[in-house]
Amino acid sequence: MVIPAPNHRIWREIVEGKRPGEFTGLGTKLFISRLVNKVRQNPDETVIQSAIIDLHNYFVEKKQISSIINELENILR
Amino acid sequence: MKKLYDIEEISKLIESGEKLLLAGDRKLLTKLPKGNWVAGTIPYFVAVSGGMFNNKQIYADVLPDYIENIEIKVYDIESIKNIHKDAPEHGFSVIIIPSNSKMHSEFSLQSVNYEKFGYKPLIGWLSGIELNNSNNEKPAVISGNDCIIREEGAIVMHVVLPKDKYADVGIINIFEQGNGEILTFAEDGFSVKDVIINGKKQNFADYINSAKYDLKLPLVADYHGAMINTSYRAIDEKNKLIHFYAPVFKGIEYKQAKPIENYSEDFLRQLLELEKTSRIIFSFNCILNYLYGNLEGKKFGNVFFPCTFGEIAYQLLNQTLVYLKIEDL
Repeated sequence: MVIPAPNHRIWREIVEGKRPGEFTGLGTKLFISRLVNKVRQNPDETVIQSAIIDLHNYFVEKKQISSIINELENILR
Repeated sequence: MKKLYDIEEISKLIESGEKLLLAGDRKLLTKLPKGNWVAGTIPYFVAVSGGMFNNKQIYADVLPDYIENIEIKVYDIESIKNIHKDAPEHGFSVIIIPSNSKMHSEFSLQSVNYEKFGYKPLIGWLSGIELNNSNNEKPAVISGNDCIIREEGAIVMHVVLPKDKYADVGIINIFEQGNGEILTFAEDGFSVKDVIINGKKQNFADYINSAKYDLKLPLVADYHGAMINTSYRAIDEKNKLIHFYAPVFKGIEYKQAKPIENYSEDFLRQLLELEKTSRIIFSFNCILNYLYGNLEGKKFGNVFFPCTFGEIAYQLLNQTLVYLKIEDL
């Protein structure tokens, strides 16, 4: 699977907390929660963009873990 | 499956090159030879014969033979922020921190901000002491590299796995959010004076008393679907403060947990479910679960664990069992 580019809508939806509970891995949940909390406390566009980059990098690094990538694929359908 | 060993037995395992995660009484741990092990002080366990206090034997998790390499590191307050950067690209890390130490505070409050938080599996626990401790002993950690007792800092074993396997850290939390108010706090911290409910600030101790909270039940926050507890440590009625065993964080929405009908049965049920689908390599459970759940004498299938003063699954947790499983890629 090709990880969507950082400007794909899915990343913004996740960091803005609009896609809760989509991932089952604990590390992924805690990582996303940290970003969602940052954005919730300060929904400035620079904070959102920084969170999107962090989130995108996380999935690029995790692309070998099929369970995580499968879940991302499911969300994108 | 044997989990509790005499000193001579553990020493033989160490000398044969086994990679070990150890827990036990300080006086025993300081007698061990150098080797591939990390340890923390604690005398409460659930082993083959059930939950128990034991300060005469050492609890050991023997790591699998297929592990390719380990590196044991000692971290201080300055270097702990590098823990995830130091972790192997393919593997996991086990951390042990003395409870009530400066590292305990630092890690609890800051770990979510460390670079690469959540990227690589991190599991661990806070070392402790006998609860009726009359000799003022402090919790400690020991590295098998130098066998030095440390009451500050953190010991970490970074573990490299073969490329066809990966590690996954999970939790069993029997608590769910109740139906009460959403509680938030203005600042991160282990102690709070005020809580914010429906946008209004009020004294949390007064609110707890009026709402008649059962303080054996934790606060529970929903972290993107993961239920994460913060357990009450004490109410300071004189200063109207509430103290916790883990920090609360600004912006996180908490609720008081739903009551539990049967504490130990709920744990057992979830553990047995987990065992059906996963090979748990090791796990750690909270001392509060041991006490509140009356785990002494109770057995949990084939899952065994030290009962710790806090458990770590990426960040500090309370009243939770944390486990590591290893799956084929």
